[in-house]
Amino acid sequence: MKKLLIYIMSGLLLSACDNYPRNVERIDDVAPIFPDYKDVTIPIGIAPMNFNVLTENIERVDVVVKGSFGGEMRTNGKWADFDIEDWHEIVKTNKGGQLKFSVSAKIDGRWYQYNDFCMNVSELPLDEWGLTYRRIAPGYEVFSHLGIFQRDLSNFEETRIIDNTETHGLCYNCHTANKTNPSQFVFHVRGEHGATMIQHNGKREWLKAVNDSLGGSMVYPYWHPSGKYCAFSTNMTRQAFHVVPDELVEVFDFKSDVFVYNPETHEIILDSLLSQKEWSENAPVFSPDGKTLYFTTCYQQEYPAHYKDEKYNLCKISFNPEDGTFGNKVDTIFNAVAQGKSVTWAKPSYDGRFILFTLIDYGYFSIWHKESEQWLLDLQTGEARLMEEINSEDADSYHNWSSNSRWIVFTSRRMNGLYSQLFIASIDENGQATKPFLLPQKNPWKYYDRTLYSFNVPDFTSEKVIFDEKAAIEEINSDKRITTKIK
Amino acid sequence: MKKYWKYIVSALMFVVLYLLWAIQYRAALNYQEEFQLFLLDWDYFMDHLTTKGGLVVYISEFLVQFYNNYWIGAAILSAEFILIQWLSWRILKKIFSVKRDWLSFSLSFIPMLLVLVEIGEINTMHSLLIAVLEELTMAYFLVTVLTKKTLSLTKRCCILVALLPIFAAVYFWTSGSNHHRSSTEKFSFSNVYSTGIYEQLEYDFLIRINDWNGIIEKSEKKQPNIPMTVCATNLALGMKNQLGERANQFYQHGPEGLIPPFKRESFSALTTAEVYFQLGLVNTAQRFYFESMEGLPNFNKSCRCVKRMAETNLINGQYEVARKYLRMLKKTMFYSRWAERMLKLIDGGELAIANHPVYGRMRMLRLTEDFLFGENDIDKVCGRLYLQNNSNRLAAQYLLLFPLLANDYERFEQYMYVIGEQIPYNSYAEPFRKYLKRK
Repeated sequence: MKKLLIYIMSGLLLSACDNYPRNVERIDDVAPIFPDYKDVTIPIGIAPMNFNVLTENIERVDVVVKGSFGGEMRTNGKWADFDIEDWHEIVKTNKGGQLKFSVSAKIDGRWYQYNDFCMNVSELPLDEWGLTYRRIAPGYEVFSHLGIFQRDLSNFEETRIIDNTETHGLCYNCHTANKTNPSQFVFHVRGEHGATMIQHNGKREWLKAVNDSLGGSMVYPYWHPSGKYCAFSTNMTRQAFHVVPDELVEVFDFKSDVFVYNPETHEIILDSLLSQKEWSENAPVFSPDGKTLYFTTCYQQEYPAHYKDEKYNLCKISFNPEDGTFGNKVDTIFNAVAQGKSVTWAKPSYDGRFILFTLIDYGYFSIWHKESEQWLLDLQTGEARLMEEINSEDADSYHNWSSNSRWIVFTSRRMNGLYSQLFIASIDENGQATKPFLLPQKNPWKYYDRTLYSFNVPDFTSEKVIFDEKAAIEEINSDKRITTKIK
Repeated sequence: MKKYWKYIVSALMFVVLYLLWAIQYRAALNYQEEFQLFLLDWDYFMDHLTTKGGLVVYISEFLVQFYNNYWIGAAILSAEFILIQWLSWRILKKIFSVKRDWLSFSLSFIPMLLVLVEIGEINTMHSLLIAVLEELTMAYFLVTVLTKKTLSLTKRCCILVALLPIFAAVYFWTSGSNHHRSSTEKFSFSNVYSTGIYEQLEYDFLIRINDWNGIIEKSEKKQPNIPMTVCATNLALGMKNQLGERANQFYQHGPEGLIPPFKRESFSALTTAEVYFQLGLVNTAQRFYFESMEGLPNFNKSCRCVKRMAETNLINGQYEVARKYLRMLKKTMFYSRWAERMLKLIDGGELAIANHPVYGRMRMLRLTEDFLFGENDIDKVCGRLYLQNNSNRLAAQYLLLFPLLANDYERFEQYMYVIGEQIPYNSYAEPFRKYLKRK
């Protein structure tokens, strides 16, 4: 009996030893890791940058992390799954330094060691609690399960803000907080019980989806920094479908205008310069000082015949927040049409220095444009440049800034060309971005390979969004709506 | 013999049910199977285990995946029915005296028949059977304890209290799931084993297995009379290059009988998707398969749609998306080997795909010049397909029939000059002659 126990214990010990690198053979290459976290720059407080080693017949992974300013940690398992507390500790210790990853993998019973790789720990803080985004299948006209979610950036916890499990057939979109502060928050409900929801300090208001005088619904929102106004576009949107392999969906507007909404008075402020008959004005955003309204505009085309001629420029108009009036002149600040291109999703950094926008060949719905790329306009010099350091071969699209203007989150289809995922990158005071990293997950390959959702309209959130979903669903179903009026 | 009559009756019932499902209603099994994607992995199991009623759905989906082969599927389904009857009998036997066993046995068919009726509504999920079985099992334990005369009342109470947590856990895992595909639609008696609905299921099944002769034979026996069945018949005739010759032998439904317009509904979208796929409109087919899957009101994914989407992405050269779907299918029981073959095909490179009899041909049929697809201009799209590749006889047949079914003889005349006599067109000739005469 004693002997048997000794054999069992020895066997267990031997198999445990076998889980750690022994007789290691070197491979003169960097490990084929997913996600590609090599040389990315991460903020303090980010969730563990877990990764998988994607190679056939892999049995085990052993990773040793060493900080340039000190600290060491190890993980050993089926994938690199770092202890969350140790991870935060080592990242914090190495602020402004580097983390070196030594990766060994057991393949077909033999241990191999790859070349080390590094991650940079940024000195720039990311003072946000997490992210908000919509999860939806990248479909066409029909949608299945979708919802607005939030994700704690310091760990892997995702929580639901609202989804359509209980409200089948309804679509939620365009959730937007004021400068990442979720105490002021807007989103739309589309479908039978349509509405625009505005939550301010926990109090919800449900606006009638369509204003009859406006002739359409409120669409792309952006808060005035004072919180006294919210700019919207109103779009008569249609979808059409391509027949060639590289393109699938085209979204275009028969007509669109821009206006500003005053939540206190429920008034819509229109201006003839923002609702010109032959022009489509779209995607309005306020400057951080609240005195300028940026928007995109294009000459309306005949659709669908001339859809490829739908090209937008980036323009601005002055805005007086005191009385809610506009200036009498529209200036073009980025002439994309002159380049034969189209600009969309202009988002000013909150420090007022830059405008991050997306450039595509035509139209504005960039996520379906493979050629879609991120550009940065320096408002000090007036120069715009292609952000090669963050772009990919596939669509790089919708984006938002962190409240300190040093980090951006954007969507990209670089993983497989269809399902968009979230990437984060830092941007320094000169507008230079670092290599973006895919939003970390507990087991990234399993998570991203398995998901049939796209992540879209991402934004940072300074704190967790508090939203009473149950009460909200009751209010949605009640159809009690506030009517907006034209000022 | 007298001793075993109940077993013989149950066995006979099994045979009747088996033949019913395997022959008469095999398409209903196909319908259940095509609108789920059961993955044989731990995460899929855990996803279900953590939701209320998830275990019932999990067990049901596990069994429904076998419907892929309707002979096995029919056996499983019939066995479930007989189990319901058998459990009902055991419960009733404990309630009634042994002398009245014939009564217990006769009454035991009632729950089974009720479920059989409910299952006759095609959107009743087969998880209903598992839920009923679970409830009957719990009831059996309860009745056993309550009727055990040899146990004192205190002991019986103790056993019941001890069983309570088990019942609570089973209740969590097995109740709460909706046994109708849509939470908003209610069960309708008029749909139970409705001939019209089951006929559509049969066409859908035949389309899925590309049994074009089967569809034509079916239509010859009974004229198709709704857009979906007319569309299936026309597709089958087209695939056999008989549309020009025989379209007039079957009931037509205008241009909508060739390609039904898009509806936000999963089932009809599948037929339309298949028409587009066979025509060579790969993007449009992919869209319809995607919409069909997304339109499922219970948020399920569909093995049939994912399989086709893997193919359309493969044809379109979107290999990463195709691989994603194929990796998913690799985790299934019935599509795993196919998925592995397809992954190897992708790894084999462009030449391997170009030489593939279906995907290579599809690549040749695809349009190369981009435009925005419009359902109203489908005849023009067929014209482009034919002009691009005049081996696309399905497009040529559709091109000629569209204007004819829309009574637009002028357009038909124009198309005739292009297509000429390259395809048999007897069925077009008579109405066209009349038109020319009037002209």
